[in-house]
Amino acid sequence: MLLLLMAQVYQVAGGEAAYWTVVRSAAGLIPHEIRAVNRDVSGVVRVTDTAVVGTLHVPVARFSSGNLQRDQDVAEILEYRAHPYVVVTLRADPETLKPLLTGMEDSLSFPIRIALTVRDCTRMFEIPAAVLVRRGDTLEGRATVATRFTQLGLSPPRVKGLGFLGGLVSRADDTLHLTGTLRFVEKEEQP
Amino acid sequence: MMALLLLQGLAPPPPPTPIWEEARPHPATYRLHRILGYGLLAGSLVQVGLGWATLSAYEGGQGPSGTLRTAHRTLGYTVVGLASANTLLGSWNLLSMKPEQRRRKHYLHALLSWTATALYVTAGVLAFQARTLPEFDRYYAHRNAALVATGATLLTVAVIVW
Repeated sequence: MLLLLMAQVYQVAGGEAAYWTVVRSAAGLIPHEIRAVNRDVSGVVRVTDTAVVGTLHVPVARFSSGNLQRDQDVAEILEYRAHPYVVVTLRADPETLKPLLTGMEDSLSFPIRIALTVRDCTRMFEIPAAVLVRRGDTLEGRATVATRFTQLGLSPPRVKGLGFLGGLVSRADDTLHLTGTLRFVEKEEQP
Repeated sequence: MMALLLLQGLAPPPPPTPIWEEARPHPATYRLHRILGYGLLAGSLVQVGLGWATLSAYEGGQGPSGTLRTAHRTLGYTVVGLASANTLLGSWNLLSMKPEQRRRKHYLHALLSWTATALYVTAGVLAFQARTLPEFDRYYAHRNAALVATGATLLTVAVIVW
């Protein structure tokens, strides 16, 4: 069984990463929720008998919130030219995944640790209940992190929420929810 | 080191094109639609004021001045023209967007725009009938249609900037 688990590599094959926050415009009087979606996540997760380790790359300039001016503003705040990716490094205990990877279960909830790097700031998070579901030949993983802009070394961004004649400036609350719903397919291990 | 990372599949791919650079519709048509939209909103609000003054003058018995009537009529044609042109332009923009860029608010914005335009045209027809037929109630019907159309325009703008 351990041989079966050795060096399985799963590659991101779809899904999305997203962030939620609340932006207040009109001198803070009008709150509205912003949800920006990114469907260009790439990365791999390697499963061995001793560790589950993965790295995901989320391109900063590919978040879409339905307002292109806002998306560009946010990407520039995150310095997308110098730091084109938000990098997520994840680590989990392989024992927790065994029931699913060996076919005994079709879904499970498991703890995971991630290191989130935004610009040049890295923060660690413990996610007590990430979810992994088997759907045919793919695995679908879901995880959510609740954090703050300031915890990631950022000021709550001022963005052009309304975008008319240079933009009426809105400010985000210092709350940030990050979520990932990603599909993984197993790929051949490189020699 | 990079070769090793590439072998392991851990190296990031080249940075993709920013999403706003491959945006559809073209930024120029998007900007034109936005400017026309705010122009329509401003024109509608001014037109409500002019219409109010016109109707008040009729109700007062003396009727509006020629200048007021001309201004209200001219702005009315402008508003109907702007609403029609901008609704068509906005619909073109929506159709040229990539499916993944479209949101529910874009469809709601389009639906409200078409509704507002239909109401502006209706208000115009009612005003024309009111002018040719001596039925005073048609002025109120014209006013009501115009007010609802203006409300729909306000809602249209609110939905898209929210």
